[in-house]
Amino acid sequence: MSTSLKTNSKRYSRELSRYPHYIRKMFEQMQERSQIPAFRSEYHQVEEKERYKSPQQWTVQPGDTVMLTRGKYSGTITKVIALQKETNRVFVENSETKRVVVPKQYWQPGQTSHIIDYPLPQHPYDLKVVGTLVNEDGTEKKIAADKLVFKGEYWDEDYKKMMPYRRVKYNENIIIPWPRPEPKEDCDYSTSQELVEERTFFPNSIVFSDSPSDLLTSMRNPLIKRPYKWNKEYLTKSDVKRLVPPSMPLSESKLAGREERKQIRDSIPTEPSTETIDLVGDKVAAYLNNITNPHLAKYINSKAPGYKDPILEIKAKQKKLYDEKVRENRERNKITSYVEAKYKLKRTKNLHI
Amino acid sequence: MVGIAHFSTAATRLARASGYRVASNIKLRKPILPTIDNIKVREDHPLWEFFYKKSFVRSNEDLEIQGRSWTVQDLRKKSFEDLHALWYVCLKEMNRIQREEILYEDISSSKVQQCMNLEDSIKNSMLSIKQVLSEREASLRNAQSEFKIIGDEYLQEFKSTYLESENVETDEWFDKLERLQYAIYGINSTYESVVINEDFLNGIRYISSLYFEKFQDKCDIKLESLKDIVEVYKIFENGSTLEGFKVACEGILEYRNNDLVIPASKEIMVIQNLVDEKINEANQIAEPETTHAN
Repeated sequence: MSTSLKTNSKRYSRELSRYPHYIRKMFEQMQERSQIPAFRSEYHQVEEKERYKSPQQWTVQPGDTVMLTRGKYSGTITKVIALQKETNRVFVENSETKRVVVPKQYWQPGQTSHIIDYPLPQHPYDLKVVGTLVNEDGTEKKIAADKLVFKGEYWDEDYKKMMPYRRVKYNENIIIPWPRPEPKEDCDYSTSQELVEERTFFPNSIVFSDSPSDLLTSMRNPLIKRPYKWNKEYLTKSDVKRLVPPSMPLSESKLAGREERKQIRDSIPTEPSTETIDLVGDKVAAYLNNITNPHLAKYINSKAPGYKDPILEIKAKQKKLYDEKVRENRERNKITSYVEAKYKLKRTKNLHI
Repeated sequence: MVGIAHFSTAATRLARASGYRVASNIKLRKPILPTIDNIKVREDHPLWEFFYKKSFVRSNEDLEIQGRSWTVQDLRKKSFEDLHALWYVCLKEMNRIQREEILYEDISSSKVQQCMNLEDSIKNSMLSIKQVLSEREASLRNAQSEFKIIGDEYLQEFKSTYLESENVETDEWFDKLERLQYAIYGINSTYESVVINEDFLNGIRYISSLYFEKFQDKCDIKLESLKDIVEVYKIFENGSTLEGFKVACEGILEYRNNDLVIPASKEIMVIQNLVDEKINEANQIAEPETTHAN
């Protein structure tokens, strides 16, 4: 038997998803190299997380009419045939192809040559969805949506799921409907809808149920210590009371000590009294008056509350003088300009006359 | 010499005795080759369960399946019998597909992936079945423990609505009571697969207290209270209507003449006898011919 824990189980087998991305890339390249060139894909596979799932991500579905915007056939209108989920790409009709050589053992039915043209999948980013607009006079017009937005959703009976409305961006009243998917035929495993929706379970008693009494032990190992996820776990009031230890009452001596410490804490003053302020002030004044160093004395004098800096005073005086001068000059200028204007006016008047 | 005697088979012994290796009258025919065509397996052989449509491996079209596996939401509607049946259908299918998967793995065929996809969807169905069943069990247990906390309050509320409503002799109320006694005490009105236990006794006590408090004032025969379990049972059996209640009260008066006292330890036994009598009566009505024949 080739099946074993190493190959079959997720836990012990070599899981690619558990390796870091650079080692995973190496394995993928090895796998790629081991294949014959015909089966090597042009675009590498996308990680499971990054694969498109919703129709909003794909933006197109098989059966859509699209316009190619890239490559040799850019500008042509074709149809989407299928989605390639591994590479986030779609197969379209009349796309670019790759020539591959296929060994005879892999020939498809009806194939006559070793060389076939294999279509290259396109990224949905390089496609523009084409919709038809019906004018008022009944004529139809085709439009290619540059950008799409998805707003609102509805239940699609053919897709059997909620589908978003595909609208043209900036013209959101134009809705490009999704193509109808090919109807799926029932296989051997299919169950009819009526049978699936039929209800046969009616819980009507908390004493009996239709399952056997030892069902749970047969489904789950009874020795497992881990709490079962369905078990409802909550503490009642009495449980809390039982589980919380009672606090011991304090002894009398401890209470008395606590009271004494509180009295001491209250008796300590928070602000100094006037006597202490005076005492400290006297001591500091006596020290400052006895300073002999002239620089230090000058510095201390400069910190006195009523002190005025002589340099600043001189500067202030100078500024006052300067300002006075400026004011005088300005007035003088005013008078001169007035007088000049007066005489100029007279002269011009005389000239004109 | 002993060893040679052991090795000699019937044919060699015959040859020694007669002088011929093969008897002269035997006609030689072509040998029968051991091929698969010569082996016939009967149609209902149990090992066929491991083969899809009695073929070695299934065809390509059969591997391409449509649809999805059963979801939890689908299976929540199904009874245990259905789930049990579905589980075994899945299990059989799992065996079949895993058998084929092993074969494909040996030749490293690309069909392994298709087999694995099918296997995954079957596995999901089976996991959903397990989930639904455990969910159901847990909800039943939760309901039971919840009822211990809020049950008295609920029953009190039910009682007050019953006593306040003017006409209780309607089909609606009969249905309600029937559902209540089955839902909480497990008492089926036809006594089908009934087990007499403490729950049963509590049930008949509660139901008969409903009847008693409702019809006590309207009835001509005044009973102060129900003294023991037999009286309770009589009220429970007949007391759903005023007329039935009167009949039950008469029965109780008759019973009180006997001066019997039933201890608490024998209550279950007494009720068991009464219920058995009731079931026998019902059986005789249902099958009168067989009883006559006996």
